Amino acid sequence: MTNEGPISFEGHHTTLTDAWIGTAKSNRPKLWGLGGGPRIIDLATSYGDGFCTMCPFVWSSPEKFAEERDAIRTQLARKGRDPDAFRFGVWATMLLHEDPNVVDRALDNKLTRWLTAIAGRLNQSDWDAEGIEPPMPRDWHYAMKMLPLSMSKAEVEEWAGRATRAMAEKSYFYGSPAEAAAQFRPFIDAGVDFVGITDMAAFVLHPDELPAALGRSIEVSGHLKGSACTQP
Amino acid sequence: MPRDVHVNVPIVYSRYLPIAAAIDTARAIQASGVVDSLTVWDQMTFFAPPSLWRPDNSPLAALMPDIDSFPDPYVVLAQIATAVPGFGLVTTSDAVRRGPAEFTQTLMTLADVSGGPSMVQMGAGESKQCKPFGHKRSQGAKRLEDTFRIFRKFMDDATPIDYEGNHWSLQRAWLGGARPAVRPELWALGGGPRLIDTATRYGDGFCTAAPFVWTNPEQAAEQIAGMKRTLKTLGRDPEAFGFGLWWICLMNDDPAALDTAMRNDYIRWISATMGRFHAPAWRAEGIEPPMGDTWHYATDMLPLTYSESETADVLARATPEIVRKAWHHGSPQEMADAIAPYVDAGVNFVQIVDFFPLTRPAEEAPEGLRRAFELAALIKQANRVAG
Repeated sequence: MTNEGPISFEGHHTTLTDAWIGTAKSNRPKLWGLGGGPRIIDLATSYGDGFCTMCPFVWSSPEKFAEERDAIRTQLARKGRDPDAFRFGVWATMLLHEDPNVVDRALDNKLTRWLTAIAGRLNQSDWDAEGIEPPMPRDWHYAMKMLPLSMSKAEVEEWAGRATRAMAEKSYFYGSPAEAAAQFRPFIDAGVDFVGITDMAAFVLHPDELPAALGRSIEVSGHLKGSACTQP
Repeated sequence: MPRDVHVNVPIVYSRYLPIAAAIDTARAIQASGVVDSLTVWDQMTFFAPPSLWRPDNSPLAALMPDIDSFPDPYVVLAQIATAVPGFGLVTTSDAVRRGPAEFTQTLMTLADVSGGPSMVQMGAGESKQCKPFGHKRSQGAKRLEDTFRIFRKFMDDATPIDYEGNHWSLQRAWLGGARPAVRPELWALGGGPRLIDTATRYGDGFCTAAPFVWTNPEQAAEQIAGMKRTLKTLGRDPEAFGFGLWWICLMNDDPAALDTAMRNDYIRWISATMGRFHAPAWRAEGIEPPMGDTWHYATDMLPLTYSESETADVLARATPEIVRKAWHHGSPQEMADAIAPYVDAGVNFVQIVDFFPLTRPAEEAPEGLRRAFELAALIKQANRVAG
């Protein structure tokens, strides 16, 4: 993206020799790191335009995010990059509905509990810091261990059953769009400047409720931006 | 034998151009009523050294600083699909640069977005697409076999699949149960016994270029008959298999304009390096192979490695005879007459690849497209007359 001519590169798995794909690049795309852990954060701060992870699955509190953000900004400054030009993003997992009974059912839904068990804290040992026994072994990580087609029905049932209601409540911003936005607001105050609103309720609602579900995500966005929105 | 001939026209699109240019061309192709599908080629760089991209070789150089800013074909085809829903979409590829499952997912998605026929013509790979970018072209044929077999498995089986192949092992690999309403096709593109073997065993068709590979209709007839025999032996229906031709040409009614085009450095470069993909084919025609006896475009062409003097040296080898033999050339009617024996030999897919517009100013592009439509109409008409 920064070179007009052919490039050569010797990397871990890829060697480029006079590689050229032309010079057209009028609208420069961005490349962010996505995930967690020191190596990907090092890559993002060395070569990337931003870093994104899941919230609360990885950054479980505004304080934790603020701490990580400070460390990343320090890295950027040390590498001679402008910390203010670097972006911080999250995919915020939410369960959105105006009706508390629907939210209640969503928190108890087996698919929700399954996701909570395997990913509610992507690093299972993060549950320990919150005083909760991890539902999966502490060295089990979704990214490295999850093979959904290799599991028996009984195993799926058993895993989903490991996630408690308390874990589910700690894994999602939930409630009405206004409530969920208020729960998430402290992350923005701490410096998050990209939000992927990931309403998992859409997966457990009836299909004919999906347009309304999209409206709730838009409403959350409106609350976060502090402006009115147009519903679908 | 009368047959329905599928006619295809490529869109040469650059990332330098607005996407609207590709969409307008796609709409014009669909509106012609005589073309069945369009192609956006999958290229990393062009066939010639960047130093040849000059206004004296192509007036288009004034519009685009280089000709190597090719697009990702699937992104462009998806955009085109929304403008010409249901129209046939084709791209080319190799099995080296994209994994077979990802490729299958992409092609199924394109077929869904389009809602119409879609096809990938896949070759064993070219050095210029592979080596500079860290891929091993030498793995091309075996990866091609893997991709064809895996694609077929995914298309035929909506449950998780296992596969043990040359370069790929799949275990409980699943792309979900959704399959496109119109099944996309995977054809082999190129030549050689291994590629043809893969095509006849696992593919939906075979395509090559004339005169770059098939230099005459007799050669096409012999190969097509051989493939049909093989298909029958394999228990497959030869009449359900596609036989395609890229009709490489310089098309114009004015012989003087064609003479001028044949003196163009781009045309001469392509003539010397690609006029016969397989160098011995030149010798079989009594011509000293311009790039030597061991040269093969697919395995040897690395356009960025040529110095100015080396480029001039290659151009000097493109004699007028070589240039004339490297391109079908003439009016649309003359091209239609020349294509007819290939159709008689069994060809049922023709892509009209006219390089003449590359040598002319951009404002003449619509005229080039008009000539392609004229040829397409003649091919269709001949088929109707024959039928």
